[in-house]
Amino acid sequence: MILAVNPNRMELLKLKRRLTLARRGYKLLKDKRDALIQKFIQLVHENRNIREEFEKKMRECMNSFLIASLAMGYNDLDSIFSFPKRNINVKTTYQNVMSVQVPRYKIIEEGNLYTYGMKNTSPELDNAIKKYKQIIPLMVKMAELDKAIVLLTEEIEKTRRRVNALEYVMIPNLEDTIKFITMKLDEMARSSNSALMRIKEIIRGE
Amino acid sequence: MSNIALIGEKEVIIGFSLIGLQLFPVTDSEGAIKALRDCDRNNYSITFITNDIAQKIFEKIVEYQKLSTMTICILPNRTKETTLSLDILRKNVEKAVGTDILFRKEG
Repeated sequence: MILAVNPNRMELLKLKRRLTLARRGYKLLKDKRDALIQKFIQLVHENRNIREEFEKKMRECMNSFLIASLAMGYNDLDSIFSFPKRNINVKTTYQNVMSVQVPRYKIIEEGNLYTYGMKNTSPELDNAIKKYKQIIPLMVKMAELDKAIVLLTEEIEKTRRRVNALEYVMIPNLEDTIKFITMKLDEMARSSNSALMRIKEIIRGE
Repeated sequence: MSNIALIGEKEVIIGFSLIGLQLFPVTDSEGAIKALRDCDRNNYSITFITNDIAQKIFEKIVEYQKLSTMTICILPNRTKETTLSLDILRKNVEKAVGTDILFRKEG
């Protein structure tokens, strides 16, 4: 498609400048897209491995908790669990991955883990709680990767759309228009040339 | 106050209470949506949702994952294999790369 511009030298210069810019942007964005996809695939594989490991451990946790609750009765457990004295916070920092701000979480734990008396509780409960505690870093890591994947997906989509727009619309349009203006200018030069020749002949004939 | 939240059925999530996570016991989808909204408003950093509850409010989760800065992560069940979190993963892969490179070999 030819852009709606006046066919003159000023426009031609402007368009040529835009074309070089578009080509450079296209190359850069294409590199960015490739790098993003590479990183993305790496993250996906990592996520999958961690998820498998987590699922296994989570199942262990829940089983040991089930055993604890069988040993103690659900009502007792309920009262123990209603007064947690412990806090887990995450501190969020952001890491720049190809201009995407990906969160990194740092776990800050405080407070006492075992807040219940020993008399009325079973050792299975201690075990279960210990397992739950160990699983937390994995859980947070998984969440971190999940978020990173969502963010990267959006960025890849955006970049790909830009690359495509440059490759299939912007650059061909500019090239067409430049060709059109060059032809038009050449045509004008030829026409004035032949007019001059004709006039010269008429003058000579007199 | 902890800034990790956990939404799910009470029996499933209660084990995490002593560890220090903030629990939101829910039973139905309305409660879950409300809990999710609360988490978003109160600036929780990470929200975990159990698989069964997540299944009921799947669209909401996808929406929040896009709009909110909060990280939403789906936890597996005790008995069944999780499919939901893998579904999200697969969808994202398809969106990003154009084809399903991750699970193609298996089926």
